[in-house]
Amino acid sequence: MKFNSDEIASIIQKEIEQFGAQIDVREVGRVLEVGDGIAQVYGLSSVMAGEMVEFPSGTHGLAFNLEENSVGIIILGEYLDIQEGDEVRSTGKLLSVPVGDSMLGRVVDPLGNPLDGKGPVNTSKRREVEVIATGVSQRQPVCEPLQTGVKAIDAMTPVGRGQRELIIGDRKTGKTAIAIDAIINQRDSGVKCFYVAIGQKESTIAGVIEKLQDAGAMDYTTVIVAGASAPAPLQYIAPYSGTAMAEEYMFDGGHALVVYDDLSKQAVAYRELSLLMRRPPGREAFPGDVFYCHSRLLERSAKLSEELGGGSITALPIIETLEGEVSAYIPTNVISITDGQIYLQPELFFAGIKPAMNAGISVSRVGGAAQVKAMKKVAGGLRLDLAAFRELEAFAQLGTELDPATQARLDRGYRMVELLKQGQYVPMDVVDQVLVIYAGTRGHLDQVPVDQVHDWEAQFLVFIRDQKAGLRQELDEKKDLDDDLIAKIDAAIADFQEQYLANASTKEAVVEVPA
Amino acid sequence: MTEDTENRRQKLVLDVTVERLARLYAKAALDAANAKGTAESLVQELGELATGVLDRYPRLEALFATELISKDEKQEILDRTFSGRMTDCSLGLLTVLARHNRLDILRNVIRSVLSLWDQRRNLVQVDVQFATEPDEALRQEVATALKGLLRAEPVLTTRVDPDLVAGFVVRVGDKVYDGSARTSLERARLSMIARARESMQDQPDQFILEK
Repeated sequence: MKFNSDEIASIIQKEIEQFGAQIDVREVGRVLEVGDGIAQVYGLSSVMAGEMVEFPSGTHGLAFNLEENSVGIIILGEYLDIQEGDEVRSTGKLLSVPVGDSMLGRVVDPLGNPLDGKGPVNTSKRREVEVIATGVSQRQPVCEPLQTGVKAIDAMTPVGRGQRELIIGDRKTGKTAIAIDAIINQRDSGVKCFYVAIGQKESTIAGVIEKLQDAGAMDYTTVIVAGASAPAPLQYIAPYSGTAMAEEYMFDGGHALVVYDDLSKQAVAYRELSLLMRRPPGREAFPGDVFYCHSRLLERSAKLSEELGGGSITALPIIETLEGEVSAYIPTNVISITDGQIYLQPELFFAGIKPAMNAGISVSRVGGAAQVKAMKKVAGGLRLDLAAFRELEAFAQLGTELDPATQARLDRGYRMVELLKQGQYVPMDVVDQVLVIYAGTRGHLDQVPVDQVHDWEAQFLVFIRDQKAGLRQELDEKKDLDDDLIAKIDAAIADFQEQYLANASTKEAVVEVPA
Repeated sequence: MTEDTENRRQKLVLDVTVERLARLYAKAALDAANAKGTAESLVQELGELATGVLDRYPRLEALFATELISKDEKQEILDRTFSGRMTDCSLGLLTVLARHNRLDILRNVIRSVLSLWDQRRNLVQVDVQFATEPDEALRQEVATALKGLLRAEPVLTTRVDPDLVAGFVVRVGDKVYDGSARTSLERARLSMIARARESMQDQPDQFILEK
């Protein structure tokens, strides 16, 4: 490739012509002590809280503590090349990150520096990391669904665009899996996704990125990484950086989904910074404003009014509990901030129910407003049915003989639980979800053995796509179940049942024939 | 001011707790001297104490700082050495410092006294770096300009730093006014890179002759 050096020369010439000696005015201070990701600086008498400062090595920091005789700075990068006595200059600016379409498909650190080896990020647009959330009058109620592709969630705890739905559970219960499925399911929805990894193992993050790449989700996703080996200041600001990148779309009338994985580690990083800065420790040694740390983050996720374009940011914060203790400090804080929570329990996980969501205590405070009408109709009684089933399940374990009605409810419950199980990285379209849940709640699975429910479901969906494509399309367009459509679905299920049961009996006959 | 003293001055600035203490003693001493009308004498004597005594006899300073000698003994040394040779306020300051076991921060106190005295007379210490040795006319010009900017009388300390290439850098307290060619050229360099990158992103075809 041959470059046109004349063009480059003309740029340099323009720069030289416009060169003018200007006075650079800056405020400076001197490093008193540095270590553990923070520095105490003498001077900087006019620096403001949250203002960005710069060290001689080029590393940036944020003014965190404004004390009588010094300024506490959190260092956003490597602190080992900063020495006592170094001159620190204030920049007069707030911390900002690059934003825009060129961030999609990239893996960056909380300052926007690329980590994926694909070269610099080519964007001139920047947004401030810390901004005040939009006011009440600038919002409207959540009214548009955000389909996660997970049947249990979309049916019983639906998430809407602009909602904050907490995913909470012990370690290894599938929290990240739900978030990843939600991202993968946004493929054709126009929603831009941001996955903020805070304090995670780098190997785990690499695995997540690979899964997103395999699913083609990286085309519309940005991954912001502040891994376990990242300094605490970067882990602290990572969620705010991710939100700033998402706000670029929200304020432009678009939609974004941000996953914070996880906020427990961000709280720990914030505690570390606060203790090093000698801020008074409160409960569990967290600083007194740890609630504000999360509330000002999550309040930036909103559904904007039509006057502002109707854009939205949906947040899926993740909190890790210890031994199921949801009444601990940080979990209760975040529960009170969010618009609902999805509880994942290890008992359900080890019993094979995946996603391990406890439908009884999971809730979405937006509810039906975040569901398409068809789903609202089929999932209306699902939660109550499952709750009733759980009550009866205890009786079943006693081994007592049950009356036919109770046994029927139990059998229905087993099948619904089986139906709501779902594999990882296979989010389901809402139309498919409506069809299978309709089939389950209307008793069409009652004749199917529990261990064949998945097989039935898979074949049913293939049948609908191949042989009843018109029906599927009609449901996709209407997104509602009128009597006519219900009749067609019933007929389709009846057709399929004939084929399925016929195949099933053929297989049995084949098995029974001696070799 | 010798370079060694200057360096030690910079180092001492880094202990903010000591600075805070020193400021307390300095303010008290100046206020006491003002009440007696001997503030100027106090400042002069303390300045001479720093340059004429402590700089020339560092072991005396070490003696003041050590815990091995009791405060009574230090008091006796002060009386023998300075009684009758300085005003009551100056000796009183030294006595109070000895009584409170704070003679180790004497130099900080002296520096704070000088700084407070400058403040009260509306004088501002200004550090100016030139690229080349300035003539008197340039110094005057800089001083006049600073007087207008700071609305105070500047006390210039000048240095020569050839790395500036041209122009000068003025430091007043925490504020730096950088009019050096070095910074301007660096700014131009970064601007050039940014413009080139923007142009290449917006109109890449203009930069490629053949692929």
